[in-house]
Formats: sequence, C-alpha cells, structure tokens
Amino acid sequence: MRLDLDSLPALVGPDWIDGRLYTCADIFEREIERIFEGGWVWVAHESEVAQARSFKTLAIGRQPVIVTRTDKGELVTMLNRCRHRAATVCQAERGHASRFVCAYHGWSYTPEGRLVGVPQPEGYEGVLDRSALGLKTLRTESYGGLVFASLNDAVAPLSDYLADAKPWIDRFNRQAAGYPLVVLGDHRFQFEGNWKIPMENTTDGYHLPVVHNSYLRFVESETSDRLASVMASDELYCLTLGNGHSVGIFDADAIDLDLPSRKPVPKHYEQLARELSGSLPTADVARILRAVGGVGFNLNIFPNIALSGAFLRELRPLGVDRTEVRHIALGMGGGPAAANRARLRIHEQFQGPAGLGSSDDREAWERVARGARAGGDMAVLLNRGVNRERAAGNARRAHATDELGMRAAYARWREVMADA
Amino acid sequence: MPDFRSDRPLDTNLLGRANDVLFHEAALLDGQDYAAWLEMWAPDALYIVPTAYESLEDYSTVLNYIHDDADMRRRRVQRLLSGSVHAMTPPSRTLRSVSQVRLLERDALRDEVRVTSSLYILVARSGTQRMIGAQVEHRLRLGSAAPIAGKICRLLDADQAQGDLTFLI
Repeated sequence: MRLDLDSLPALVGPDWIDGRLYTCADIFEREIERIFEGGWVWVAHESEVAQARSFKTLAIGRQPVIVTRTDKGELVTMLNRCRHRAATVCQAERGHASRFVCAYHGWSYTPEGRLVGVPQPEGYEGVLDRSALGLKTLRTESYGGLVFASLNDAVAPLSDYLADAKPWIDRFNRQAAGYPLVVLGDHRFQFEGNWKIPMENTTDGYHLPVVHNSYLRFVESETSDRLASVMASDELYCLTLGNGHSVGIFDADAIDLDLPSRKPVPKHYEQLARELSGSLPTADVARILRAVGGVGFNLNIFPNIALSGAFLRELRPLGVDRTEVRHIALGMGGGPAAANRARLRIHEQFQGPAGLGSSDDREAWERVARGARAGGDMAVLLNRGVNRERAAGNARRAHATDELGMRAAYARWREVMADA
Repeated sequence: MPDFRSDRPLDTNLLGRANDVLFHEAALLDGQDYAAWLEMWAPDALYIVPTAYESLEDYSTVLNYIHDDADMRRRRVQRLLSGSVHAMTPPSRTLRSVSQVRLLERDALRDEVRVTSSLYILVARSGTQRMIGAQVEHRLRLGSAAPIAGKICRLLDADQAQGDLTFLI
C-alpha cells in the first residue's frame, strides 16, 4: 500500500490510529529510519556480554551490529561491517573473540573495533590510515543492566530518554532478590504482522481475561487470581513515563519486592521453600519466595522492549508484516539453583511458541494484522478510559485496563515520525 | 490400541515394539486425541522440547520451549481439550512421519529402552503448510500401559524463531 508520507500527522489521533499504520510499507521504511536508526534501541542485557571479549550480534533497524565487552570492561557497539569491502566480520550470534577477522581479505579488528591486521600490506604503503579505519562505533549507554545503542550520534543522553521509566527499571531488577538479574535464555517466535501490534500488547490489561482465558482456567489458582483481578480492582493503574514509555500495574502487592507482601506465599512455591530452606537462612528464603514470581507490572519502553512481570520482551521488526519476538528469561545471577529452576519453569509455562499464554497472544496479533488489511483508513481505537484518565504530576494516569499506554506510545510515534 | 504389555520376552523384537509405541503416539497427536496421548505417559516422565539443538545432560537448568512434568502435562492437555485455545481455532492439521528408529540402550532392571528417531511434521493451517524436523529421544517402558518414561524433542532449528507449536511435537 502506498501513502503520501506528508499526511502522517493526520494518521494518529489522540485516541485512535489509522489502520494503515500496520500495513503500509512506506510507513515501515520511515519507522526503520526515524525510530530504529534515529533513536535509542535496546541491544543487550549486560549479563549477555559479562566477560571481557564476549560479544553479541543483532541488527538495529536493518543494520547489523556487534556489542562487545572490552578488556577494560567497557561496552562497545559497532557496525558489523569491514572497513575494506563491507563484509560482516562476525557471523556468530554470541561468543568470545579476541579478534574479529574478516574472512574475505583477512582484515582484523580488536573487541574495541581497532584495525590491527591487514594481510600483505605492501600495496597499502602510504595509502591506509589504520587509525581511521576501525569498525564504526555507536553511542552506547546503559541503565540498570539494559544496554542501548544509537546510530544517531546526536541523540540525547539515554538517561534523559528513559525519563521516568528509570525508577521502574530499578523496581523490576528487585526480582533478583539481591543477586544481579541475568539472562537465562530466550524463546523466539515470529508472527505475520506489524511490530506495533505486540508493542501495544504489553500495555494492554484489557486483553488478559479474554485472550488468556484458556491459560487462566488451567494454571494454579494463585496465578489466575492474580491476573484476573486486573479487571476488578480499582487500585490497579497505568501511568505514562515520558517519551512513549508507560507502566501498567497488574498486582499492586508486587510493585516493590523489597517491601513485605500482604499475601501468603502461593502453595505452588512450597516445594521451592523446602529446597531453599536446606541451605539458606529464613530471611533469605523469604526474600527469594517474595521475588521469584517477578514484579506485578509491565513496563513498556518505547519503541521495542517491555519489562513484563518476570521477563523481557524484545520486538524485532523484519518487515511491515513480519516481526520476530523474543521472550527473554531472567534469573538470579549466582543465586540458588532451585530458585532459577523455578523461574525457568514459570517462563516456560506462559511464554514462547509452545507456551500456554504467548501462543494465544500470537494468534490474536495475526488476526489484527489480517483484519487491518480490510477497511483501508478505518480507525483502530485506543480510547478505552479516555474519560477517567487524569493528570498525576507531569504524568497521566488511568486504570490498568485502559489504553493510556498505547495513547502515550503513539503520541511519541507521531512526534518522531511526523517531524519534517 | 496396540498391546504394549505383550507377553513376548523383551529380547525378541524390541525394535518392533518400540515402533508400535512411537507410531501410536504420532497417530494420537495427528488425531488430536490428547486425552489418550496423556495416558501414554508414566507419572515420573518429563516431556522436553529444548531451545537449543545440542544435547544436554540436564535440561532443568536451562530454558526450554516445553519442560513438562505430569502436572504441567495435564494442564497443557486440559487447555488443549477446552476448545477455547485461540491458537488452535482453527486447529493446525498435522501429519507426522517417524523414521530412523534406533534402539540405543536397554535397561533390563527397569524394563526400559532408550530409542531415538527422526520426526518430520507437516503442519497445515490457515492456507499455509510448513515442515518441522526433530531428533527425538524416547525412554520407553515396553511392559507398561503408560510406556513413555521420557521424551526429548530436539528441533532442527531450535535456536531460530519458531512459528506456533501449540499442537505438540
């Protein structure tokens, strides 16, 4: 579908979007340029590149990059592109390397990106300035273990960008019960649809009892009660956090895991409690049991990650109608094996292509993508709770099942996409 | 239903009896007879679909797509039978082919054999058809009415992004 991009500002209202935001290839191209190649994009969790000379590869927008940890412990993001003839210099998705060697002509680079090897240098005498031909490095900054990079050298500091999301990242990290939060693995799946559909999903409390009906009926009652209460409780809210970020609370008792719980320990943690009690003091066991199920909120960080309960969701836009989703499992680095096993089993129960929850989310997103092909410019509604939304300091606040987080994300989208 | 409790001595035609179990399991899953499939499992068995292709000694310490004990298997099957699973509306149609069945080990004491096989699943849904391949390892108690004592399905592309896997591997 073609569209005059000058009309973009007219495609996003205060509480609706034009359905073509999901289907128009020209809009997608501009999103890649403006949002993914123009702003901050999450590239790694620090635990994924914990050791000196460890690396991870991915793409920012469509541009392949390498994230490395140098011998000095610094995090570096650089383009995965040899300065000679442009071949990628690192093929593995992750690993350790003291040199990135281009397989085409053998140019080699350090983990900092410095060009240190050029085979048969005779032909280059007086030609090459090696010091100017390192791998191109990108702005890289991190907060609370989350590493971001930007292809835009002029981008504002990450700390400014994350705005009021920062204290929520701190609260999210408390689920490691005093240990460092670390990546334990990930579930990867694709769906045929636009990346913004799941972006909305982690700030959508309204869908829980409907899409996840078959999950809620067959999980432990404490888990289903916890999620089902989102609809009923008045104390659960959604809050805007600036720059398109937002948080939605689904369990007020699990906002700050450093505070004592008002609820008893769920029955399905009894076995874990027994296992932990063998080797840990009572206070430590209590802290782990408090934290093991994750926090009671979903934090959406625009554009493409969410810190959701106990996991991290990353959205990789592959095309206007194709998205890869990664559900990254997190655990207690160096913590008790039994606690991390429990975290893994919790993740497997809901998440991923065979999970009892994600599989139905995926189906709902594909139906949105399919349905949005109908009706051309018809609106997609984001107006739930518009009349009960109110100011809360600099932020806006509404009920957890309201579409406030989506309204905030699309306001940011409009700002970034519509600027001349 | 084939009789896995045959009186034949274990050392005759073990492979044939293992085939009976594997083919029957595949037929139940293709027929979406999840209740009967659940009954094929021993209570202490684990059903595992890892997120990496490489074999591991212990899958409990890593993330898997599926790592089901009896309780989780029962919840999974109850959900599938509930009729309200969106990912199975409409259901994926599957056609499984089990081949290369090999006996690796026999534990006479526990009356168990370890069997590997190659599994191809053709999956049709919503106008598209795709192929899934996996190396499967079963531990089978051929003398039991609930013969599956363990199953690990290593997807050929386990480390790549998957489509829906609700229909079970």
